[in-house]
Amino acid sequence: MTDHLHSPCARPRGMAARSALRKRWRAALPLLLALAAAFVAGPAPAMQPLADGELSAVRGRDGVSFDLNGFAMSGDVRVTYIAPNGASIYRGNLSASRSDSSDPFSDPYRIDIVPGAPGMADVMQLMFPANSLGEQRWQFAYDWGVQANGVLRDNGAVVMDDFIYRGGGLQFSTPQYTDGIAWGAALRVDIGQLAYRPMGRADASEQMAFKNIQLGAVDANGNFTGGPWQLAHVASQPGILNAYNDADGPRLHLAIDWPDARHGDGAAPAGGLAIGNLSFSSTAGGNVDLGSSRIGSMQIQYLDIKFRR
Amino acid sequence: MPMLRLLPVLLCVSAAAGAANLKPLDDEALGQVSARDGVSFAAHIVINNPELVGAVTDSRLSLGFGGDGPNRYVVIKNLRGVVDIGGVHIDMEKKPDGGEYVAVSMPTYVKFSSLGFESLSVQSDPLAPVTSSMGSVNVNGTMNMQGQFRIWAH
Repeated sequence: MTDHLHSPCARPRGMAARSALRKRWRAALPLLLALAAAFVAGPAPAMQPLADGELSAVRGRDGVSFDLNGFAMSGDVRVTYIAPNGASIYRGNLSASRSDSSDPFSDPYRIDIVPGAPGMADVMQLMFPANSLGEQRWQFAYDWGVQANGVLRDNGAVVMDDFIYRGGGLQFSTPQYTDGIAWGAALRVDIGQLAYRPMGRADASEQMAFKNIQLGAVDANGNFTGGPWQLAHVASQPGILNAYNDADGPRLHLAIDWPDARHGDGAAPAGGLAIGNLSFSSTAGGNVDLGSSRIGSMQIQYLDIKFRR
Repeated sequence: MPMLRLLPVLLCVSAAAGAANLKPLDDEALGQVSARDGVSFAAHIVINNPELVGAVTDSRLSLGFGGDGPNRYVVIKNLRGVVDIGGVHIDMEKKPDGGEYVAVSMPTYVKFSSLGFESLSVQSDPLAPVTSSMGSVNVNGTMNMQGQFRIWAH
C-alpha cells in the first residue's frame, strides 16, 4: 500500500530538488529586480525644503494660449445648407487672412478654467486678443447664392476689409436650472468696410458698402467706452443652448435670460453700433451716399429663439 | 520561467548602467538636446461611406437633455463624407522668452467630398424615425492654407 502511495514520487529525486530551487528563485525575484532598479537609478537626489518666498514663486501652468502666424486660406470649398423642402443656400470660395502683432506671442487667444460665481460651476473661458493697436486684422471674402424651385441664383460676393476684434471672448459652463450649455459672449469689433458686390468680389464698381463699422460697449451717454459689449454672461445674464419642451414637442433652443441682480446690477449691458458711411455704387445709376448711421445705446434684456420645422 | 532565464542578463545590464557616470541635466541643458524633431502627416478619412460593403445606413449622433419634462435629443443623422488633408507639420519651437510652444503648420491642402449630415432634428426618442428634420448640410471642394497655429501653456 505504502509503495503504491509513493509510487508517483519514485521518479528521480533531481526533479524535486529542481522544483524546490525554482520556488526559492521565484520568492527572491522581486528583491532581485528591486536591486537591479536601484543600480540603474543610482543614489536618490537629496530633497530640499522650499522657503515661503521660493514656494510662492512656483507657477502652475494652468491654461493654454494660442495664436496664428502668417495665416491665409483660399479655395473653392462650398458649404450648402439644404432645407427639408429642397431649397438651399450656399457660401463658397471663402478666402481669409490675418495680419499679426508686431510682437509675436504678446497678445494671444487664451483658454482658462476659472472659478464661477459663488455657488456656481467653474467656467471655461476663451479670451480674444486685446489687440489695442489693431494690428491683428482679418480680411474675408466669400460668394453666396440660393436655389429654390429648380432655379439657382448666384448672388455675388461679400467682402470684409480690416475686420478687427478688440478684446472680448466666450464663456461656457453648466446652467443653473436646466440641462444644456450656459454661455456668455462679449464683443468689440471694428470693420473697415463691409461690401456686397453683385458682380464679384473684385468688382467694386457695383456695390453696397458699409464703411467704418464700430460695435462695442457704451456708457450712459451712448459714448463708446473702448471695451467689449457683454451680450451674455454665465452668471449675471446667462445665455443657454439646449433642447427644450414646449406645447408642441421638443425644440432646439437658443436664449439669453433676464439679468440676474444677484450677480450684477440687474441691468443688461449697453452696446452701441456706428456706421461711418453707407453708400451704393453703380455704373448705371451713379452713386448714392446715405451718410452715417448710429444706434447710440441698445440692450438685450431677453432673447428666446426656438427652431422648428 | 522566461523571466528567470533573463534575470542574469538584467542584472548585468543594470550593473553596467549603474557603473556609467550619469550626470543630471538642468532645464537649460535639457533644452539644448536636439534630435530629429517634428512630425509631418497626411490623412485620408472616410466616414460612413454608404457605397462600401456593409455600410451603416442609419448612424446617429445625439445629444440628450433631461429635466423639465420628458427627455429630448438633438439628433444628427448619417454624419458622413471624405476628407483628405496634406502638408501638416507639428514641431516644438522656442519663444523669445525661453518658453516653448507647439507649432502646427496649417494644412496646405484640404479636400472635402460630400462631407456633412443627412438631417438635424430634435425629438423625444433618439432612435425613432426622423420626422421633423430641420435640413442637411453638405461641404465640397478644396482649401489651401498657409501659416502656423501656435499653442503654449501659460
